Amino acid sequence: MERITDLTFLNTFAGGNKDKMKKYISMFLQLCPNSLTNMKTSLESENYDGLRAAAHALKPQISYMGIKAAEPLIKALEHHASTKTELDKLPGMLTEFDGLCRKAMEELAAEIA
Amino acid sequence: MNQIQTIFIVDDDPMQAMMLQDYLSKYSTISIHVFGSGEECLKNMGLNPQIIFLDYNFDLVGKDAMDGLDILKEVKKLAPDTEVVMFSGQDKIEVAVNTMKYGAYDYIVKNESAFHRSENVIFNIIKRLKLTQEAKLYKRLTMLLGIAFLAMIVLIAILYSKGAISSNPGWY
Repeated sequence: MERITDLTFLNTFAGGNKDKMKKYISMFLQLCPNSLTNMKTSLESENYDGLRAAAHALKPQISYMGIKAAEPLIKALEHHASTKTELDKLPGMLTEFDGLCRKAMEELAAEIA
Repeated sequence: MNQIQTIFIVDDDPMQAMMLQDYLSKYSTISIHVFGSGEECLKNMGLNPQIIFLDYNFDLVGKDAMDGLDILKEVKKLAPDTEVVMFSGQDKIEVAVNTMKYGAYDYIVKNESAFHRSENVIFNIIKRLKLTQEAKLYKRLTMLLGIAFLAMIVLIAILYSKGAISSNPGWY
């Protein structure tokens, strides 16, 4: 199965230090589920500012964990929530984004196991 | 790095703050303080930070939290010499220009190159501090030379008026 996370940046950033990488990955695994829940509850309650804020906060972490396929999605989610445009597309985008994050979290959890 | 003793990192994203702190921790002479909100940062301004890396958005802290721009304005009021470097996930030029208008030293987009850019910003600030210190030193030296020259003129005038020296010293 093809990997969806690319840890090249994180590895370079940590200077190959496995403990440091483990620390960053553990933090992501701790923060990401909360962010996804915030995004979902915000969308359900049509709180688009909340959705934009949660997406905005999670965006750099997605980049650091090398989840390339999720980057355009989170940018689009932030943009559409901010401009309140194409709102009908948001649930589908969020479902796809959530799926990618769950898969990435599985990979990352295996990485530090 | 000797010119920089204290740096603040102000960000409500614990991962971003921790990664930047780790990245800058190679400079062991610098004391790095991390704060999760602008309010905490302002409370600790007594620690005299020379540089503050400040997040632009504090959405995660709560709706009543000060945003990055408000904190920047307060910092500049309290400590005009402290350099503030804004951090944001937004790469909109108008946001960057706006922060510069209120006195931010630089604007860094949170991405993979953000950490390296932060380091470069510190080097640039150190260069600027050195130039400022040199300019102050030259200003002081010029003033001292001016005072010495003036004192010499006054001394000559006094000696001349008392006849201790004349316009014809009789050297030839």
